[in-house]
Amino acid sequence: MYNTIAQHLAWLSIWRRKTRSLMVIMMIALSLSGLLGLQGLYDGMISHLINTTIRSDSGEISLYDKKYRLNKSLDYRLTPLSKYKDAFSKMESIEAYSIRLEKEGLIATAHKSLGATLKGISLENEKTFGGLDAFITQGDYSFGKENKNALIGSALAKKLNLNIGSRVIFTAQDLTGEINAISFRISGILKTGNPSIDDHSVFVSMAKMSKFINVHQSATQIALRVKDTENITIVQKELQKLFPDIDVLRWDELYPLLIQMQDWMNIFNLASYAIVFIVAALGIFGVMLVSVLERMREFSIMLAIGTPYKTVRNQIIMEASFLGFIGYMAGAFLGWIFLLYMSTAGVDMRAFEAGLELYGYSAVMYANMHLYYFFQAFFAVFFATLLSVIWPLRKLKKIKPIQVIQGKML
Amino acid sequence: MLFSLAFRNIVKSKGRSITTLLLSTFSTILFICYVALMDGSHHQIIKSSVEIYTGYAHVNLNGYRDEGGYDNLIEEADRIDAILKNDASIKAYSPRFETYALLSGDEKAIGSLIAGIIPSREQDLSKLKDSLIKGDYLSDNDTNAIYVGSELSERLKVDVGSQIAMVGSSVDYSIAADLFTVKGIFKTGLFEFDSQSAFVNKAYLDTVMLSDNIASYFTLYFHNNDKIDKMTTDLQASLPSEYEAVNWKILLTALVQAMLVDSIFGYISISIFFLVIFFVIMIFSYVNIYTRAREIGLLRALGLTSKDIFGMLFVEILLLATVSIIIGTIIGASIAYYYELNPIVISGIAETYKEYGVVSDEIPMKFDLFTITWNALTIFILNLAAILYPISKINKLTAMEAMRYV
Amino acid sequence: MKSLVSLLLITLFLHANEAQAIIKKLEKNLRGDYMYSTMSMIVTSKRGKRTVKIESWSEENDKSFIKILYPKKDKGITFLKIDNQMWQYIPKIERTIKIPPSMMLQSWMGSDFTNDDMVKESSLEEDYSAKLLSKKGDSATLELIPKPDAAVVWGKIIIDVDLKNAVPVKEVFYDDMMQKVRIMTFSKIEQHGSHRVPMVMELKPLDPNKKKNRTKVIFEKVNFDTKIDPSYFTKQALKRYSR
Repeated sequence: MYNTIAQHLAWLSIWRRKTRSLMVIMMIALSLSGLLGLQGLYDGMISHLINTTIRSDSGEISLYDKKYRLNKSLDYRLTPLSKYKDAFSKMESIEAYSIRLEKEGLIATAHKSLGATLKGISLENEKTFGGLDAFITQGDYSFGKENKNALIGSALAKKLNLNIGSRVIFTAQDLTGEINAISFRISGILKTGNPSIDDHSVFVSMAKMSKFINVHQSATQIALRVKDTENITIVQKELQKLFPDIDVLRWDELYPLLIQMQDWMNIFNLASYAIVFIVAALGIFGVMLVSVLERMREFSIMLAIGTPYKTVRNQIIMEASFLGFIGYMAGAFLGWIFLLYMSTAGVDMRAFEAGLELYGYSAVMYANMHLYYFFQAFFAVFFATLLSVIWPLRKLKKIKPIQVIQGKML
Repeated sequence: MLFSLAFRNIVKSKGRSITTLLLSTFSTILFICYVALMDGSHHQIIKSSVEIYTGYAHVNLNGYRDEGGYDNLIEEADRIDAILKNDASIKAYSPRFETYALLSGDEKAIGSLIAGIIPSREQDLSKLKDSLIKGDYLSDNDTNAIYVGSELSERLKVDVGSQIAMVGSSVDYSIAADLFTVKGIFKTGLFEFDSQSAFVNKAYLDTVMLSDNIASYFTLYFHNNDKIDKMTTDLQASLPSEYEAVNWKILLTALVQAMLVDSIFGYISISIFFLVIFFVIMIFSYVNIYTRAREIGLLRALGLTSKDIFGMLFVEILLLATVSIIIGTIIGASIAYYYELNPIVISGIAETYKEYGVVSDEIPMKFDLFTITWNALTIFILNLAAILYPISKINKLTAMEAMRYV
Repeated sequence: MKSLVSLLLITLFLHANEAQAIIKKLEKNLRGDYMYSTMSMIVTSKRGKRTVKIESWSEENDKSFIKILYPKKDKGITFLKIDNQMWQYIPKIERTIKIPPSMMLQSWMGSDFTNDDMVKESSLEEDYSAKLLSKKGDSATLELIPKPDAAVVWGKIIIDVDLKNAVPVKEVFYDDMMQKVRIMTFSKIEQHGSHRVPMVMELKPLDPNKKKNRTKVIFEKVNFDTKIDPSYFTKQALKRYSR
């Protein structure tokens, strides 16, 4: 019974001084929505980066010949493919695999020639693997009739002034060192956000590639998608046992920078929340203290007539909590709107495209939205409010009701 | 009189005064240090790229940067040399002749940048000499000596003392070929650079490339690199019309943009913090002013106008803000200054971020008076803005209402 | 009706056939099983005029050996092309290097020809489908479109042919978007043994940045009828015949 009284009084009290309460609520709401927005955006940027790398390049795990990454020679390739494919079919956690055969060479038009990498892939495979088809910006996700055409990265296409249907030739040394050239038409242009693809890669069918460089039943890279993140290390260890002579590496081992960036971001996030809410606690404290001090008489009377101390104490705690809670709801709602907008429409930073793409970020950024953002925010507000009432409660504890009523202690 | 009233009020409301002082001082210090660190790290990344090889500014023929090749070379290098020599704003400069040629240790040929440089002058303009890891740096008397990047030497499978054949194109397109001996190997930390560059004494390379008195461009440092835009414009005015002066902002556009984006995000992040500070100061001021409602009412009744009240309250915050930012600025600026001279070291950061152009584990802060001033001013204005609402509210009450305030 | 259609088809077929026949005749005339020649190549560019004198031996389309005779600085430099690969020997440093694919599309000796041009000399007959555009007396104009699998950069080539002599008069090269890229003209037709050949060829790029450029090749000696010693088409030849 006393607790509902406390609740009731608390609610009424905070609205007695509307402006003060509103200022606290606004403070919490605005800062919270800002923090949520930024968190979502940063999170989104890095997720995108990681996601793109996994989808278009390494998968969760990649297999390479031990010497390949240092010296990209065709001598260091994985062969025969059958032994790998058999192993994969027996492992349930492997969701998809992608076999790629690539070689660096020269791509040329009548006007210009540039260094590029030709990659033999299976379209179907890459589609199930990482949805490569979703990256098509022009043309079709196909190698055309008889699989003779090619897909090209957008920046490369731009530098060479290519459109759908344009013809290019590609020259490279095959396995025996012979220089070969082939020509194909462009059937599609891809924009993945991964500079190694957009700026440097041309995709053709595995059959065409094998014939061109005279390499059969082999791959320079096999990338794997693993169901469930927990299984990644298990699968890796299994494969390392089966194939001890090659490199079996996880995406974060291939690109440690990505994990580092994620870690830095998490630290930054926690620090932001901590700093912001310690200061916010100060604001709530300011209001709570004054509100307690100016009601000393009121509290004294309540105590004098027999209200349990606990009730009065709870009332004050609940006042702070209500302020915090309303602030939280408003902030979470506003934050949710921000995140909704940024995760669907994205933030257009195309004015800075050159700089962003230098680091592999896409020019239009999308925010992530996760439930845990809101939980984290809740705890921040919760602790801030608790922190803020410590001192006012101490003041309350020291009250000697009779003296206050008599006007002797203030 | 308003002043003395304000002063007394500050002393009396210790809680509010101390809180506002501490908050503002802390914010000022934080802002100054945060921006100093952010600017410092960006500056460091750009500086690395600029100082390792590119240089702060270039003078080249119009069209060189788009076309490259041999069609837009400076063919009167001595004339440009003379112009640059007489320019007091230039601290150091040197001509470079750059071309792409085939280098081979055995039969395998690798395409690489070959640049003819003046070794003694390059010392002050790039980090080539400082990046030496094996053998010796070039000297102005060298002939067949070549100075090779570490990754390149590995690809060619050569070491100090090995012989490398170079085959390329002379300026008149006849075949340029010569044998060089590896004099030294360098490692700048910039992976792309170390795997595709080699340097030769220009005086000798000129005989092979027929590039006597010819340069691809001149690289230069100004005395005042901080005011680079002005320096570049002034230099452009003294050059013949076919030439252009461009600085690193254009030469390294992508990098500059990336730093800018990072800065924007940095400012947005810290703004959220200031938002909270703003509200806290406003709340404390509000509460404080309303606590004195009766007193204010009395003053109004005694004849002070709302304007006077505004003045008094404003002076209060003015005093508090001024003291805070003075203390905050002194402390913040000292920290920035100290860490500019003694950068923070996070070991391992260069290795991890090497693809992003980070070459050193040091992160210096950037001490810049202009930046510090506007940082402090921002906090100052924040303080002043925070009080506007509380003052306006109290002034809306009539003298009677104020005196009776509960 | 049916006969009309078949007549049309036959005409087209014949036309195409006739065009192919013209090209075949052209190539047979210009190339022989063996060819020995000496020539001067004059390159005009922004930097002025430069003359290079060359001696060349070739077998069919796939083997050729080139030696530079002039200027003195480059004298003795030799090139060997076998199929799609090219090597170069430089006497000054006594080294042979293999030209990597990245250098293949660079200009050859600063001329408007690329290494690829020198090396591939792609067969018009093998790599292109020919169509007769017009024919008047002794001249014909043909349109050559690359066959689907041919590794050539051109979108099409329009060639004006002198039918009597079975030599080209003018070739216009188009890129993939059908923009003109360069023009090659042929003149001074002479009889050498069983072949009639143009002794002067001029290549002019149409790039606005290269307005002043042109490359002129003047043949001095041409011999189709003598067999060439196979030793010319070995890597040893590079050094041996350099002097």
